Amino acid sequence: MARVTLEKRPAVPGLVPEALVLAPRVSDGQPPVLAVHGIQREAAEMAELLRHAAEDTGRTIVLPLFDRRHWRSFQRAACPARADLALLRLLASLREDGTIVPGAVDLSGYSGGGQFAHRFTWLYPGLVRRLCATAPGWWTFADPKAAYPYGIGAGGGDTVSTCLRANLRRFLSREIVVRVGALDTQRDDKLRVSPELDQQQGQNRLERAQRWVADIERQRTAHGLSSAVDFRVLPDSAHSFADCVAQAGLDRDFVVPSPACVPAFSQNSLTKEVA
Amino acid sequence: MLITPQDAQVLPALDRAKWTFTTRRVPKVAATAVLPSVAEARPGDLVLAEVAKIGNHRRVQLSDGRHSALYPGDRLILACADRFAPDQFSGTARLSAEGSDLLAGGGVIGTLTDKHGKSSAPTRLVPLGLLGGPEGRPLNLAEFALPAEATARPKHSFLVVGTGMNAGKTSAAAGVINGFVRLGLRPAAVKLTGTGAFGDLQAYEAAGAARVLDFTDAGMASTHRQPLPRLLQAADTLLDAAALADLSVVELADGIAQGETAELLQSPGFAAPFDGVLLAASDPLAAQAALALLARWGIAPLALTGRLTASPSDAREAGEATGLPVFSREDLCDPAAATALISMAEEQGLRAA
Repeated sequence: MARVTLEKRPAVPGLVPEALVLAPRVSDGQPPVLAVHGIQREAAEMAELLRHAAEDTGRTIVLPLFDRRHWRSFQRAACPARADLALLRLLASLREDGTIVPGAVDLSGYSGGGQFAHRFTWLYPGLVRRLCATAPGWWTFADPKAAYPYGIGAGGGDTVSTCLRANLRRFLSREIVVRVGALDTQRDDKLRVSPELDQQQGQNRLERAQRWVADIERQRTAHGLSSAVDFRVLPDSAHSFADCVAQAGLDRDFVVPSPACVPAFSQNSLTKEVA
Repeated sequence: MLITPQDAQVLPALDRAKWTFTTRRVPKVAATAVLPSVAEARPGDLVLAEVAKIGNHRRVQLSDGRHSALYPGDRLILACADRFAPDQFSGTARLSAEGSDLLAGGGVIGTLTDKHGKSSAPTRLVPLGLLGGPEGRPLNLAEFALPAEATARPKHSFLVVGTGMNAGKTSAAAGVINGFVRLGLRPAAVKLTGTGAFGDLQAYEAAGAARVLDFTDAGMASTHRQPLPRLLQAADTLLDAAALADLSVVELADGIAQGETAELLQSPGFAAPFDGVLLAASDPLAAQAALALLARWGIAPLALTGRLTASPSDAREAGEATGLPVFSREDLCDPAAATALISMAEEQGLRAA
């Protein structure tokens, strides 16, 4: 008998994305891992490739599917259709029916999913314990002069940028893991390119990941935070989730054994004693 | 008039009376007599009164959250209290058997001292007596207050203050509440000062607050002219009662320069439990003046909100002049803004440490 079941949860169109749930038969209350697809919407393929990780770690893995019709630009998180709010609704419904435990989650994303994952974590640092962003085409930098989604500047005075600036320190204090393939240096037709973007972030995903990690580590130092970003270039891997899993064990970076951790919003952590 | 006690039954004289919002914590069977000594009424005493002439208030708020139209001859159960409302009535907690005034539709009876030029004369009431208990003393709202129990409090508390009445405080508080709800948290909402009325509590409830409380839960129909120690005790009682919520959102009535609000904000221990303060302002100049006053009291709001956000140019002007983020009610309903408020509060705490 399989130790992990795969359940497909239907969408509420435009409000809650469809989701695949890899659930261990025996759940021990570990926080779940959310694994977000890229712009190819390859959630089903990712689910198959993450099945062993679910079995090995005993962790529930949730793979949301941001369909093209409703969340065309989901990778921006705070896109006009607000993919971030859709994920919050999905998390709420999963908690309500007991599929996942209350508290912070681990959030992993590949390619466009990596874009979504780091932006969502920046918007809601209290909801994410560990971020694993793999091979995003481009990033949001902690640059106060560039408008979102390139930076966190006040372009247009929008609320999202205000929130990102406010959350910077809490975002930096998350466990941040970055992965990118050593061969992910092609400027393929899925990679966003422009003279400005190339100048800010680099020519390809490998270079862009390196620059973002350097920027985040500078920011961490400036904020008095000592821990480094967990950055690894995946050997022999091009821009393919399957390739990264097969060649470099990306599944083990996406889904790590859960340390004992206090849920972010447990009653114990949310009350304080008064004299 | 002395009506004799009945065992665990509502006095016939009170049975068909309309129990107003301010009396909501009082069990109807608690009153065992109607005492004639209306001239001796103190703030918080429960009063049986008859409607003599309909004036400004054509309806009252009932204890069950409904409105009820008034008719001459209606009998009401209200609380004697002071009232402060520059845009309507101000009055004192003093009754006369000859006649008194309905100072607030939530159920406050007293004597009018002044009224706004656009308000018509108050609805006139004839006090028939004070509700009395088994010991023959007048019943007072304070006897029905929540107990003071210092246990634990929510990890986060946010305070909403304003530049004046109608500056958008309640809308802002409701927005903050809704943002936290959409973030997956269970906020409590507290209206700490003001005059008893269900509108604000219903706004908090509609926004999703897991628990709603106000100063009537601490035994006051109005906080106007209440001594500072009592207001501080009420703050403790209500925040303690919110302990099971994930966080609390507390609103102070009127502007920060109003008597009791100013006293509270200047009181050394008052602001300590709050992680952050939001200032609801009517316009950019009022925002700057309020920030200057708050700075003198050692209070630095995290952000601006309120009525000025209805005008993008006002919001921009206020933001540029103060350097503070400006959030409209709709912005505050966004869980990303709710998260940012927590972050800003933590940053402010780190800077202060």
